[in-house]
Amino acid sequence: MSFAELGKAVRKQFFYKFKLFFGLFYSLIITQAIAIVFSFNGTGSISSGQIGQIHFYSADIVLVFTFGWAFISALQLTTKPFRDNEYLFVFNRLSSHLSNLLFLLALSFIGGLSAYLSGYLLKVAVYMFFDFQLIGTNDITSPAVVVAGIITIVLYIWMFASLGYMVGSLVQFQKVFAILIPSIIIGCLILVALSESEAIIRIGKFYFFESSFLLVFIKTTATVCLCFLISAVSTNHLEVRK
Amino acid sequence: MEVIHCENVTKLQGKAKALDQLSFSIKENTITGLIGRNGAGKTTLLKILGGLWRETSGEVKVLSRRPFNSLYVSENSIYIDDAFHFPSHLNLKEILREGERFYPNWNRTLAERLFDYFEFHPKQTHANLSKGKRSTFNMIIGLASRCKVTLYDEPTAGMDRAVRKEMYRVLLKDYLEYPRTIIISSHYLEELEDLLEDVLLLDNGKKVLHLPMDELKEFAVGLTGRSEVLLQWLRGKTILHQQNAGPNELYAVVKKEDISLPEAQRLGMTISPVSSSDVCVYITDRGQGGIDRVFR
Repeated sequence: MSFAELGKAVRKQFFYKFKLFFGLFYSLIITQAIAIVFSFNGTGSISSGQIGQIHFYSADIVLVFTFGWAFISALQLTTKPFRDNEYLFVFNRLSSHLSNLLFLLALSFIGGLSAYLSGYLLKVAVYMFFDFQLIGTNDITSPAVVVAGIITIVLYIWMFASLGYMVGSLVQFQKVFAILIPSIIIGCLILVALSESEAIIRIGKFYFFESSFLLVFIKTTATVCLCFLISAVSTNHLEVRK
Repeated sequence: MEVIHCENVTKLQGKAKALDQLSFSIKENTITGLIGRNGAGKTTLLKILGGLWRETSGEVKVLSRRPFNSLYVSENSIYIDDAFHFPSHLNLKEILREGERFYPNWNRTLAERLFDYFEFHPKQTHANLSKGKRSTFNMIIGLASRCKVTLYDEPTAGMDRAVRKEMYRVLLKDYLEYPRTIIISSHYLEELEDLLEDVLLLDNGKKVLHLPMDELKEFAVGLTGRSEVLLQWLRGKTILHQQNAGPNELYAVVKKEDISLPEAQRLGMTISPVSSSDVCVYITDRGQGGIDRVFR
């Protein structure tokens, strides 16, 4: 198998997947629309005696919903009905993983861009439909910052997508993960809620409280690579179209 | 040149052996019929050759490479069965277009002509086709892809007789125009007789026969004669099948090479040819008495 052969197959599969998984874009639109509705209440607020209440509006909720959407969509890619559609023409495991990796990146890009823009949509909607006084939009930044912001969002979404993909692949590899992984996730959530577990919060801070763009880039892409490596290794010997 | 080579291939499914120490090889540009009863290992073998499934042990080589997970084999071979899951939101024309994008030797003219001949509607979806129509469509994909190795797993399932015959004809014509290595598994050996060059007969995951079609046709003869004479004369020889042909009369099927026909004639036996599909059934018979044993 030469490198050119692999590249050709990956490219073909990538475009095939766009047609195949077009439905994912509809679910993105619905998810973000719901998130915007939730955001109308403001993503944060402070009260002050002198000027009343100040609401903050941002794309945060949309972003979190998009993370969830990316995770579930990627997980779906690894389920049997999706795989059966995928393993039709020319493929092998590696080309399939690589094209999925790229497809998820493209998906994340679209999701990230629309999530970013939904922040503006939200502000315009609030301005138009609610009787609030606008204090500031806080959006006058240089193009470089905007681009960096969008790339960061895309990378985060991609990271969540690859986590979902890894979970799906592990379940394919061993059915026991289908029970194990949700248990761990729910267990962790309970830990955070009850005892504010340091370790888990530190993981969250490691990824989301990073102020350097370069470090965000390195952390997320490294996570993505790790997830795909695990996916590739765990599914390499699995048979298809059982 | 050998295109397919298998040596001591075993495939375990759970504890059961779907393939058991199977060894054979298939030359380039031949049409081989893969014959066997239900559960003989036909699908398992084809899926392994197509690179979809992994052999448990032994060596499989398709186009000199191990097929499992091989991109090269995936590009140069196609496995057609009736369980193709085409995406539900692509219509038939779009599926053909995708096939064309993936397979380098795709013959668009042939695909479109067959598509029109069998009266498919471009906007139909694969899931809404009837069983026979679906098989026909899958076979069009198999034909048009023109892969070096084409594997058909019961391609005619659900087709009516007329379509089956037409499909075999298309297959032969396209093969003559563009020779490649084809394996067809089927339950209708008699319909395939004129198409096949070789026959590979499997039973319980083992190879029983692998010989040219012409030899299979001459493989066995049927003898009818008085029971005691016939049994006496056939003592020590393998009787593939026997049944009563009337009072005191017996019909027995034996290997042609085991007996001398002139002698049989001299003993007053009637000699009749045995069709290749009957030979396959007799050889893979589960023992004397067949299904009737169940009711005893």
